[in-house]
Amino acid sequence: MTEAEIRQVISDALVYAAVPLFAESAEQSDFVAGRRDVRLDEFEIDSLATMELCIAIELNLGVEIVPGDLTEIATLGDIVALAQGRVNVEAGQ
Amino acid sequence: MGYAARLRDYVRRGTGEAVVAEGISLSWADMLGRVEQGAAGLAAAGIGPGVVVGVTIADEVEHFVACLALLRVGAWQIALATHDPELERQAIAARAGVTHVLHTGSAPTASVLPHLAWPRAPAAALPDEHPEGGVMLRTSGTTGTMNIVPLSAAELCVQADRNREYDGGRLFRPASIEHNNSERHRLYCAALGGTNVFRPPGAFDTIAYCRQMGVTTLDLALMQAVDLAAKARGEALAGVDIRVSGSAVPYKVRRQIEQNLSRRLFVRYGSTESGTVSFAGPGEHDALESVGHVVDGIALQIVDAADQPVPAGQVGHIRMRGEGFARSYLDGAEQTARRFRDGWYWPGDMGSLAVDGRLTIHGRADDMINLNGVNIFTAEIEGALEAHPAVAAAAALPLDSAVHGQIPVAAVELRSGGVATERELVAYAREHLALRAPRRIIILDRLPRNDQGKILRREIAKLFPNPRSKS
Repeated sequence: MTEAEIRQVISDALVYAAVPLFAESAEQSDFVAGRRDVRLDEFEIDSLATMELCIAIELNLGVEIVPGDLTEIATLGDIVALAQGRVNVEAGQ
Repeated sequence: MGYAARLRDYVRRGTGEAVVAEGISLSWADMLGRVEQGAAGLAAAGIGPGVVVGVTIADEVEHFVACLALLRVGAWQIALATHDPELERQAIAARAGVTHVLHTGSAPTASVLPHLAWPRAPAAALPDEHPEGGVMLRTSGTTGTMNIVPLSAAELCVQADRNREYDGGRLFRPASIEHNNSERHRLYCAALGGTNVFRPPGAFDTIAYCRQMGVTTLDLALMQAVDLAAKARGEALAGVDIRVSGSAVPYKVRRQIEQNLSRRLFVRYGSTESGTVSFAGPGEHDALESVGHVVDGIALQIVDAADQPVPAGQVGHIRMRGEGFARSYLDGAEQTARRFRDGWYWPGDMGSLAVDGRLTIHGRADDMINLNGVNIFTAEIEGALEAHPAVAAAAALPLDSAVHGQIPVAAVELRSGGVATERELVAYAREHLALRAPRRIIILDRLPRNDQGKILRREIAKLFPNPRSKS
């Protein structure tokens, strides 16, 4: 799983969860392309959206993330790094 | 009145045919003569009460007559279908305690059981009053576990009486009598004095054959009904009762059957264990997608997790009881304890009863998905996806998750010419089901099904890249 694919999974999950602003934002494509990071406090990521993020990561990347893992996270890039780290652990890298 | 006595009664009435197939027409006297001859031969060979006989006869008329003859001599029987591999037949025979295998033609060479050629030599007739046997029916499980349901001749008669439409009618089922449901419904039909119409050899046109044979009731599995209705046009079988088995028959499928086959559509809910429980007939098909009112003689309740009845409209576990129900599985103590308890039979289905008493099935209790405490019925997801114009059929299932409990996912089969992507379908489901939507949907050329047309969710679960499913 490449970083770009992980970014796509996270982006899709936020669109799926209908997170206000993110779905229509220019930041979305830049985030997927890895050209910029996005601060979570720019969007209204509620508990349901957090749940969708966790489900999407588990379903698509095969690693478990619980909502509590995201409480201290500041940006989407941090989530990418967290997920990437767990994917690497699962893969034994 | 016992099963054999019913057949003798139809002979006395002297009307109608008992069995019809291409080039074959047996009056009740003809058929009973064959049955009595076969029964006498079986008895002479030592087959009687306490003996379990496997039936490996592909010819439907011969199979049917053998079935009646075995009931007559008091033996128990189980179909060891010719379409099953020999090893599977042996495994079933061992579970059922089969001591002899009844066949026509030459005996299968690989079998380890004594084989008994279908007797044709004259033998002394049995007295009218003679203990009757029963049938062991295999349930077509979708979870990999097959149950064997014993039903005595007396229980078959009680179950038959809940299918009064067979009385004086001509029943055709395209599925072979070697399949459980066909065998059971053909025995119901005979018990009610109806005419059993059997398939012609090889490939055939169902609609043309029904017309040719004057069929009054065409009994179909859901998959067969969908296929036939898709090909037919303009009430091709007007006036014929179309009976469709299946707990979840979508409204749009019902409409298509009504428009293309016959307005006399009956959607039946039932099981091998109970026989027919309810059916929705003409004028009862609407968006509720109900299976109609529960038939007389069966008490049915919807209860919650504490086994307490729930108010009308609320979804809960179905339990039912009535005369003629099976009372146990042959060798499944655990399943018996689960399905037959507190004086009720628990089919494992979720359902609701409307204020007017109509029953709607909401899927299998085992199929209920619990996503972070939210109960989601697979039937709800499947119904929403099947409403998409490109989707022909859908199957929803849970993937187990240590974090979320279960995550709903689905597989779909597209209509011929239907175009949709997995992402589009996920978005569509989200729009219609919100939190209850499947989080991933895969498109398959064909959903995996068993030979009864039931979708095999266990096989589908294997197709997901992160399969932690126990479903």
